[in-house]
Amino acid sequence: MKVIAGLYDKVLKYDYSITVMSILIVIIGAINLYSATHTSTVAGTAGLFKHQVIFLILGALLMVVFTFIDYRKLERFAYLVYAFNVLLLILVLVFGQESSGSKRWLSLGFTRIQPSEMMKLSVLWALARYFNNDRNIGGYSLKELFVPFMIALLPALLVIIEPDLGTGLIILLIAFSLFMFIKIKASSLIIIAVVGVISLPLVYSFVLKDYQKRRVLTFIDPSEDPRGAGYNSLQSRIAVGSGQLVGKGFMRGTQTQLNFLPEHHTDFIFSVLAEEHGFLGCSVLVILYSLLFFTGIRVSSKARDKLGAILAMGCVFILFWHVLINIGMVIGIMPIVGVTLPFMSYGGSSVIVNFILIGFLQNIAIRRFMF
Amino acid sequence: MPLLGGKDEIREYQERYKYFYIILVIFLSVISLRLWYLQIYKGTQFKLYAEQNRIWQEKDRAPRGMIFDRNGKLLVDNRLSFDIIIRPQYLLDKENTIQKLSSMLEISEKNIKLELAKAKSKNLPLFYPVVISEDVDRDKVALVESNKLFMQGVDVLTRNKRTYLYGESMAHVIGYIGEVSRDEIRNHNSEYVKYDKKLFMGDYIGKFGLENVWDKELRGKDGAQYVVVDANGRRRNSEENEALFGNLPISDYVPGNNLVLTIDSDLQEVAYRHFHEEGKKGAVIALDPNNGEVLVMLSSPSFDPTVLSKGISSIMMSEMKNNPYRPFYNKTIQDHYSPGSTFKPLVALAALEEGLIDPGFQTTCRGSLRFGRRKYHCHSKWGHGTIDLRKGIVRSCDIVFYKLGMKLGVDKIYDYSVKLGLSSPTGINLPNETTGLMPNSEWKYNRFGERWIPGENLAVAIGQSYTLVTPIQLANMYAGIATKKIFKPILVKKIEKYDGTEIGKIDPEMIHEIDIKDQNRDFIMKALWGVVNEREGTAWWYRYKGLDMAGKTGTVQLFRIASDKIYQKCEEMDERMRHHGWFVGLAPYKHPQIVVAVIAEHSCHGSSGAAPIVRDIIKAYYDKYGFPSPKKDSQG
Repeated sequence: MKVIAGLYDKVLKYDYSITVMSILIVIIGAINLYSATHTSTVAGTAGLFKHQVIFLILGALLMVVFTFIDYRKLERFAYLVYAFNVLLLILVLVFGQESSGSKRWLSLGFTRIQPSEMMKLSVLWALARYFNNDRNIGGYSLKELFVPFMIALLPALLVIIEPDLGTGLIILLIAFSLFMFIKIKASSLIIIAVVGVISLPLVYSFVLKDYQKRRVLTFIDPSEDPRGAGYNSLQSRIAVGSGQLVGKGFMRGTQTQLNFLPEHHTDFIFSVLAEEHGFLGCSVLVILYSLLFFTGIRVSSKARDKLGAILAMGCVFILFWHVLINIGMVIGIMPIVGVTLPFMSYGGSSVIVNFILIGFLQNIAIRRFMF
Repeated sequence: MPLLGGKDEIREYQERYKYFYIILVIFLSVISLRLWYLQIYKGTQFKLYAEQNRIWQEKDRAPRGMIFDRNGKLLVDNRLSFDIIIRPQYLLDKENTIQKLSSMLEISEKNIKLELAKAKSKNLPLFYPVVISEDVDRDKVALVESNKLFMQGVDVLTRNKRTYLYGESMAHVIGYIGEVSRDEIRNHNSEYVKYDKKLFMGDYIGKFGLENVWDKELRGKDGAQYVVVDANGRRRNSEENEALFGNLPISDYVPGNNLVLTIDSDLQEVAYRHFHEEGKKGAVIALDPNNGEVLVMLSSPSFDPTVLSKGISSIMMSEMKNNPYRPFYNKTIQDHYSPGSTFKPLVALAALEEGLIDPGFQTTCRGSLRFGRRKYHCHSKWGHGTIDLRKGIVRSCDIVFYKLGMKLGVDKIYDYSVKLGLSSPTGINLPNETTGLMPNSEWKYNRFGERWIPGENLAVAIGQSYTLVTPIQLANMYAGIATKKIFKPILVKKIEKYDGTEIGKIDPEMIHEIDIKDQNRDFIMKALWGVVNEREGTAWWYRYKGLDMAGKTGTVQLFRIASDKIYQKCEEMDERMRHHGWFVGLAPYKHPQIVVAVIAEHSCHGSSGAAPIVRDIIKAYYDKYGFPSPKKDSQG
């Protein structure tokens, strides 16, 4: 009884802004996805909307679950889940289902899962547990960051060789952001920056696959590959630009509905919103995302403990990098990497992961106390 | 554990949040600014593009690689052809334009509308060209070109048309190309994503034969360019486009690689002429027994790959598919036949190797033989009289081989068939090769649940019973007897880049050596020589004087014939009831350089039906390359 009463108390006191903002984004996303998939012009998109709704409901349920299980009780499973997830990534490489050239999915018979999506969460938890149990004042040095760096690098490499460059990069970005948050010594930061700049060309020539190189080149000079990435980039810019101030209206975007734009229900979903709802529609979405991030940071700053603070920041980082890279790609300020836009893009695994992130944020928010 | 590290740590945490707020604000401002630039500042211009979609990418199709014969003669070429197309987006005055076009192209308006409707049902973007008429002659092209201004939406596109210079003759080897299907795109792209050659709707790929097997090499990498057009679909380039998109990108195509085949087109033509002029059905395969290179591969009846590559109507297609003589089968590898008497050398070799008989083996042929309750006939009604093993091969006496069959039994014969490459595919790099069938007692038990009956040994020994071989297996078997080696037949010698530089070479691949005694091999080869070069030989009447050729005839009854009709004249039967004729020839007989196997379906006899074709191919080979004077070595 006491537990329930306590929980009830928390629910009453809870600040609902995170929930409200994420639900608004989910609604915009669902409406937009309906517009992007309602025409059957692209083979196989007909049932996608229904599919997505099922995952939204499933995701919302998981969000509730992860809101109420005390996050401090989850800490002890962090490494176990991490190890299990790495194992899944290896299984994907061995038994995975191939789709357009990369192995990303594991078939479970009734559905298929994408362990690389879950890996973002596992890395976040593993790092959060690591830093939570590690006292450090005055910032981490390079040597002290070796273990956490390896925690992120191993799965990131496994994901990159699938190949799924986007998710691999996101994992590394999450880790790096967390390092910045738990504070790196200034001298170490400089070394990281220098090494990063030097290693970029090496990564480019030895790690990236041909088509990934082409995408990078296309970003630098679109004439490198007019057939593939260059085409998407041009057409998505036309779609976004032609939306103007208020857009062409719901389900009336010509670029989308006439299929000039490939992948418009997954990676390029933002261009559908931009085309049909214009600058105003985009601004609403960008503002909602911003509010979500700001609130997330506030949850972190008011968290009850170090674990909560790190975890909340991690959730914000994951969402933030997805939003930045995806929108940046659609509006032509970032190279084309396959990264989904939270709650907007089609995709079951990504919907579920995003809802769980929101669940964690609420979880930490409920259990905070004022300093 | 304390809830939070220490108070000092907490305070430090609190201070760093402001930096993250700042970073967030910066990134979000960049996004907003960029959105403002695209949607507000440049919005009107982008809207124009979206409305008319005045920018599209156009493919520069890469020509497919060419195909040459072993001496560098061109077999498959690309020729320029013109298609008349309509881009539905610009078809403003539909009725008028279609009417004009219909009179110019002499196509009914109904058909043009049908093509447009078909394209519409595929849901392609409206600027995609819809082909109205393919491969139009130059006069009509000129007419359309000069009237293009008055027919908005109509355009002429050039295309490389695949042209098969040897047409029907090499259709089964080279195959044909066709427009890629959705399934093919899915299958290919999952594997090709690592390469540059991704497939798109409207692309052409090899559908059959070498075009299909070597598609990855033959298909080039298409180039692309962006084309900007005005509202009427006319191309233009303006500085305004550059301002919006920068330089419009262009990429050049890379032509596909060329194949150099092992086929000799002259020999192939000799074979084709025989089949074509005499209206014959069947198959020809010629190999170099020393390395497995295929010199001739012909299957008849055939089809015209140039026509097929253009796409033919489904009615014509189903007509061809239902043709009882199966023009789409490459009979050299996809069809199997009972080997008939061509199987006898294998049986003789097995008996000699097993030591069951010596070369002097003799028996008497009285035209038939009683075994168990049945009477087994020789093809000679009155019998061959006293006859030895060599004459048994030369005259193809069945009684001799019935006796060998009794001595050997099916399982020994089976072992030698495996040694000589029967009962498994030869491994030639073409799809759908059949295995043929070589029975043994175990097989029969598994298949029918019955024991092997001794009487069946007799039928097996003369190449009847369940035994089935493909022409290429049979040629490979004779090559094996002659050289004691079984090679994997190959069709492609090397791969060249479009400019002729060699980039790949296919080496002969020996599958295994055959462990047989030279003296036995020589005995068989001498007997095969006798078949052609002795007056009693079954192919004596079809020899060329002075052509150093050995060989063996074979005749295959298609239906069990009642005993009173066994000696009925084959020519008097209905065509589809007539026997198949086999002939396998080797030359020169001491060190063969060419083995030719011919099956002439329903030609009644191996001698008259098939032997002349083999003879003429070998003659052509001799005239072209000559035979070296016999080397004096231990094998000779």
